[in-house]
Amino acid sequence: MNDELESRLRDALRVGAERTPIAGDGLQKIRSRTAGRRRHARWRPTLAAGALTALVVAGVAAAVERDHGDRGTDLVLPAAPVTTAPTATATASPTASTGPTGCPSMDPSLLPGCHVTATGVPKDTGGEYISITSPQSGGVVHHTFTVSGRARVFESQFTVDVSQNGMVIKTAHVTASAGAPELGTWSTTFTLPDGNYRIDAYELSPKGDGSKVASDTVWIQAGSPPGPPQATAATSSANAR
Amino acid sequence: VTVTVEGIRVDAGWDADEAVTELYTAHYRGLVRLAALLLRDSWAAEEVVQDAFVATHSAWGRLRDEEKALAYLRRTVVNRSRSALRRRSVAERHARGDDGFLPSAETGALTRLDADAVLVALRGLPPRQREALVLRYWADLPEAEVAEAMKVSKGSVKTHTSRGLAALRTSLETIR
Repeated sequence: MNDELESRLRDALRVGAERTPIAGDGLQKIRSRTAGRRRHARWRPTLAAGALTALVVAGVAAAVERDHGDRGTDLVLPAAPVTTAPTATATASPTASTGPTGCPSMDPSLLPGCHVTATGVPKDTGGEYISITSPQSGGVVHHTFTVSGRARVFESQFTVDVSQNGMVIKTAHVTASAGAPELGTWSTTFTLPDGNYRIDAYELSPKGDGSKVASDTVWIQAGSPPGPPQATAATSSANAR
Repeated sequence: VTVTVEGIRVDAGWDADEAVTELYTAHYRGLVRLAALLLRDSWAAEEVVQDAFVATHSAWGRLRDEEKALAYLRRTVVNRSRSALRRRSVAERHARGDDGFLPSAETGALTRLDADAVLVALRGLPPRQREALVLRYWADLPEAEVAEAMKVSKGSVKTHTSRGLAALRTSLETIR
């Protein structure tokens, strides 16, 4: 009885597979993407495990992006009604485990009214780990911008989602420069229209229950030129350009 | 040093570009079909497989071996198909019934009808069960390789497979 079902299943899968249209430009598409990655190859750190912690604490980033920097500055999103957080700079340690304090419940639907303050990168405890080191939460970025960070995840693969108003609008599948147990670096580029966005970098649990074994989140605004964290000024100058 | 594995030249001296080209020639179409069966969305399938090749290009320094690279590609395709299934666009296409599949012309009407019924039933299964069945009955992988591709234990593969078959049977009987 199972034999008959198995046979039907094999036939159906074969029919389904044969129906799959395959475009002839796959290799070109892959090559165009790997060509852009070649320059990243030299990042790959082959570090002794013992050296990792020291490097992280020292804030040494192997991934050097254009505007790379550790997060830790209080910023206010331009559209945010200022309520509680100070706009003065408060430097946080890159290894601090403080979460976003000005974004209650981290609900993306709170944007653009969400008030983002200092967000330290997640603390690296040596297990599965993902952090976004750039852009900073609350930062203003160009329409096309690079998100970069560090990761120690299985097979160096994880996901970065861009969402707005609670809806995921873009997803990138990212490969870090090294897989667990090494701490790798990663970056991915998005192009977004004007607006406020939430960026989630995460690795899902292999259990398949949708839980995340490592993640980090930042909120950014796309569209206005990056400038000083004085949000109101950044907004008004955006219209002028 | 050049050796041959399953008819493919494997050269330890390949750089990542050469490796991707060779792997593409040998495995791209099969992997797209695998992804399409997992996703029931052929548009997304090519994207997922291209992502997997880009990831393999990055990982080639660690893989350096066609068999390892193929296992890596397969696992990445399964993993990314799971992610893609969660994406709204895929769900929307399913709702429209536009899955990008070509109409079948190569098989008889009866086979086609039965295949459609089985594929619809397969689509209704939980993702893990569908993965186990596709990897086992279409890709013809041994249990250990199914387990590796799904990143679960061999015991879990047995469970997903038997539950998947049972659910498929129930679903097909209901259709009748």
